[in-house]
Amino acid sequence: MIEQTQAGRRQAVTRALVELGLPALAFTLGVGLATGSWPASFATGLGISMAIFALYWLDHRFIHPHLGKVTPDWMRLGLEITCSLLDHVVGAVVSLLVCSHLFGFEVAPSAAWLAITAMVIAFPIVHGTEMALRFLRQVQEKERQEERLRALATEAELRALKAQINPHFLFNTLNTIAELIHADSERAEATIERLAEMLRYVLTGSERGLVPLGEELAFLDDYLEIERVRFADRLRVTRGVAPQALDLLVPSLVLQPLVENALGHGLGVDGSIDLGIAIHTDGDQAVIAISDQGPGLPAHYKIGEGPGRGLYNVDQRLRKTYGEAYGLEISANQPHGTIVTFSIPARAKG
Amino acid sequence: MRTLIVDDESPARARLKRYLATLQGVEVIGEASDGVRAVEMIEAQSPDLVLLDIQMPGLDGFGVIDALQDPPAIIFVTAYDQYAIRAFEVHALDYLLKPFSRERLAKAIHRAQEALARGQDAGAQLRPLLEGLAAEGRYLTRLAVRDRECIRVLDANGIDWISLEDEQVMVHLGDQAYPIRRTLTELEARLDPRRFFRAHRSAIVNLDRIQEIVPWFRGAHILRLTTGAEVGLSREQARALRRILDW
Repeated sequence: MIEQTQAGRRQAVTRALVELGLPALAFTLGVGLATGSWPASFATGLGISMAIFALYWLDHRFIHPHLGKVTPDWMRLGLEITCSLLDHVVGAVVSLLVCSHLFGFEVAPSAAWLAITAMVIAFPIVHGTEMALRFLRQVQEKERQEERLRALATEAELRALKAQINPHFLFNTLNTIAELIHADSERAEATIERLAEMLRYVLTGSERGLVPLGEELAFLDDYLEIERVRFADRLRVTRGVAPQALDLLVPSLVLQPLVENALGHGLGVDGSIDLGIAIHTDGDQAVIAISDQGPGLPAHYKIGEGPGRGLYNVDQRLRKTYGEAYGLEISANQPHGTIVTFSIPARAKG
Repeated sequence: MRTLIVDDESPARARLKRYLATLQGVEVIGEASDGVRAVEMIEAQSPDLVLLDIQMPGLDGFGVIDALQDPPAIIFVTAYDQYAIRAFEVHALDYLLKPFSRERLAKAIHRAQEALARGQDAGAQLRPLLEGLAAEGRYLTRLAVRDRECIRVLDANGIDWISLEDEQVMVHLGDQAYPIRRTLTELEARLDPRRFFRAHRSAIVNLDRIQEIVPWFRGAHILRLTTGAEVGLSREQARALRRILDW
């Protein structure tokens, strides 16, 4: 902090020296050559320089903030440069007239006076160029910023898509289809149709928000049907769904990640998987349980721990939709395996 | 080049076979649909090259390599596995991403043929890979042990503890104990540290199996496991365990 202020102060001193001192020196030289009276011309040079500096400062303090709103941009830039030019001409002429009265020298046209006039005009041009460059940089920076924001939005969408469709599943399915085209073209066609349904559901999922549980189950069917091509008869699904729960509303894409997690971690040593999908109503809420008979999760397991984000995302979305009491619960299955359970309030009806 | 195909999905095996049939100098000598079959076939037929899928139920591709004493040349195949791919890149090993093109496969096969002609030792490249996997967050989940003549796949989480007795590492599950050709340090490096803990110079325990921690003398303890086994806990490791279990 202290270092920053010190650096700031050093910068301000340097600027004052450059913006006050250099012009003062230049004007002193000009007036001195024209009049031959050096002490008077030094005072005059300093006077001109300070007058210009003061006007320029006032201009920046009081006029510039109002110019900020002027559009188009080139009009604003023109006004800024005009103001700067006026600061210099008015400052130079007024202080020169005052000083000529005070020190009693003639302001007569000569080569030296022309030089002073040229300097008075040259400074705003230098300032103007600086302003134009700054303006150009601002425009470029604004464009870069917008580009960055666009990239971030695309990245967020891709991330969401990746979280919902496991890339391993997607590429494996494409590989399966590539072979089925040769071996069983009808099955290849059916698999493409299912995959297309799945992708469509995922891509429009974020727009729809809440969906009937029945739609989620249909999506799950597409998914499991594709997984069946991979697992063949090693995949056994036990399903019990209370019909009155089908039109309850849930956030889209909460069931499939839980099932995918069960398929990933619930494999028995022989490679088979016993998947259970149970949905029943209990008073004013529905309870949804996805179970497997795999090796089970570690005793100290916490949702969101480790590389898998699937369970964590679902947990977060459930809590945001229904409240903190409605997150995922993880328990041990009997004789072994894992059960992931969540509840939804029955009032959330379509 | 005598080649073995290992993949749990039959469409994937069929596709590989169809492509390999069009390549010169490649003879497919068999197909395995799981890790254990793969280990058995590799040991029985000693192929020159194995096209090895990574994600398989039971023993996965890395478990297969881990179980082999003298692995042949391997081309890894995966649909998507960012942890494994990082490890392949680090160890400069060839891999195929499903679905791959015929040209990409041909290139991988060609490289393998060249390496074979040079007489390159495949095992020398594969062992550092296995060690590097844990560093990428991919821990050992299944373990192949020899139970007389057959290969048995153990689920890593089911292991109660691992001991070193008379220079032989033994894996304990319930009332069974299986010898394994790995050092305790190797196993410690590859098992998930959230689950397994080096209790002593000669023992690793599954944290879930600790039932009682009985103070011994001079800061050492005895861990009594749910299976009834008693395992020593050294003074240094007692401090580390205190941090994990917060006891």
